[in-house]
Amino acid sequence: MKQKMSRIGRPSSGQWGFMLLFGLPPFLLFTFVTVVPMISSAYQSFFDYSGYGDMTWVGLDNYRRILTDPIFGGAVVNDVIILFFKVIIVLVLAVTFAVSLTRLNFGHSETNVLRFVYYIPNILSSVVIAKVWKYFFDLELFSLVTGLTTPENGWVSTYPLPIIIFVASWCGIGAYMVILIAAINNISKELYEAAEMDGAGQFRQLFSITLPAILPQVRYIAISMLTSIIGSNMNFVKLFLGESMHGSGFTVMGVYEYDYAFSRYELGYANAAAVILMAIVIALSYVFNYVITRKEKS
Amino acid sequence: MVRSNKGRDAIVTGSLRWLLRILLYAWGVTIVFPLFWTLATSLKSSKQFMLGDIWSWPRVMYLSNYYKAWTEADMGTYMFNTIFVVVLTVVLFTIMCTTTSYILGKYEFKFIKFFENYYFLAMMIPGMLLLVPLYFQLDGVGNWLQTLVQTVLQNQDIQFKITDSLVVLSIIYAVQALPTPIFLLTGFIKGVDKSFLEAARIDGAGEFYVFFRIVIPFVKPIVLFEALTRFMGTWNEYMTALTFLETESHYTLSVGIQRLIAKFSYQSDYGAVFAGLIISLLPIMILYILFQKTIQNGTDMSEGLK
Repeated sequence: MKQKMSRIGRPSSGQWGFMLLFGLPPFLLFTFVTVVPMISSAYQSFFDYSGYGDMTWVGLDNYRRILTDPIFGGAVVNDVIILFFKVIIVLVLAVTFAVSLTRLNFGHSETNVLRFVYYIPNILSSVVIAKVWKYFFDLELFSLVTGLTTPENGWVSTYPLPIIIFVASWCGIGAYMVILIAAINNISKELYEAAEMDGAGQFRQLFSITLPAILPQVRYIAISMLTSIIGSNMNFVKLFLGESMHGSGFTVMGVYEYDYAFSRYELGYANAAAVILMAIVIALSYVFNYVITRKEKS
Repeated sequence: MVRSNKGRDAIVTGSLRWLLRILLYAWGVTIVFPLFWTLATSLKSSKQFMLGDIWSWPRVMYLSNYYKAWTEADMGTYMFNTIFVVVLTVVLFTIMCTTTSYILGKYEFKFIKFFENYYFLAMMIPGMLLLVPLYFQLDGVGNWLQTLVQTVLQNQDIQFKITDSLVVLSIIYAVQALPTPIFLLTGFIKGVDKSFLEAARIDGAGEFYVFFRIVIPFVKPIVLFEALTRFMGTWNEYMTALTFLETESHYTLSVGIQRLIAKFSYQSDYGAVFAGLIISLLPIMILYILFQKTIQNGTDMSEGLK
């Protein structure tokens, strides 16, 4: 009975044991592989450091160099462009598909087959996806299907931006659509019935009931795309355009940081880039949140 | 008035319905077609492929492409390494995630709130940015350990690199994935009625019994979903494996497949390249087909809390 009272009391010896045995190791490991590297990364960003040997204090020099480097500026622009189009394409298509599959009364098996197929890109590895699409474009298949002439250096190297936007969106839609479908199915059927009684057509129902109801999910999708954009772009650029950013002149922020650490051995500089990336991601999520919250209110 | 409006609406909706249906199938084709093309190419002789016949169905089924990919490119080793890493990661992850969520969800002591916020805040860190500092940190620790072992054992020949280890890689995968699943699972465990736990404790049940026999059965579906997600995420992970694994015999599939592609596309043997791709995605496809409902419903569930 004592336990029942002790909501904010003291742990029993069994509870201490459980916490020390199962709670503490993950906490320490987690701190060691995420929080410590993050702090050391911020610390090292003020040094000239190759990753091994001596560290020389350089103050804000690394930051000054990065912010005046046009390649870094280009990388930021590329990331933002990919993010912008990816968010729009994924949201428009995922919402369209989710609304179609829930509100238009397609057959049950038809819906299930489409749901099954749409989710497939989400389970495939980015390596397989990137390679298959790279071959699709570079082995003339794309030119065959569309009747266009292949550029001299191949499609992928000539137009990396649209191709990465397309493939990245292609990968994302399935899971987000599933989330939206669940959200739409949670809307009370009575709302739609009442709207129908009042003579509201499908469009009216879409804009007055469905879309407002799924706004929280839309916000979640946008934010989750934002926080994963650096990793996702880095993956695709590495896989589509090969190892080095100097090969094609096309780079994104993640690859920029990675190459400075591993190809040029300028770890301090790479860490400064990581700190700036972090700041950009946080700033963008504030902007996102602000824009969407304002839409929600109006 | 209302009726005529409705009639026009029905026509618009009807044609729109067909338009959307076409769009839905067109999108489906962009997914199915590349996969079928990959499958077809993997069964095609390289000769047929190189003669410009890159898009028809293979005239003769060339299963030898699969044999070649498997034997000549170490696919067996990569597959074994991947399975090792995935199993170890999923086991470690599931234990750590469930126990921590139980502690955060059901131990209502004041200091627990701190740990909950700690994991919650860590959810915001973009994992990819940790890759570079984490590698150098572990490499530093590894060098230090090596010197220590060498001095203690008085043997300079003992050399190892902890970053190049499948066990270390699995631990990193398991631990870095924790925050979001913990957040999700803690929410579910908080919802488990406390009286079940109290009743068991009064009957003299130990903490582990309460956790394993009472709490876990309530959240089994979500645990299964998280384990499956981790399985697929680990199977597919690329950047960390690329950075950490240096010895070829330690490569996982996602890194090894790059080598395979480099090797066979140099010989213009695209049949073997695509056979390698199919081999690497087959296990994950089978898993998806078996657990499609759990995976898709889990995606809904995990959304429910946000």
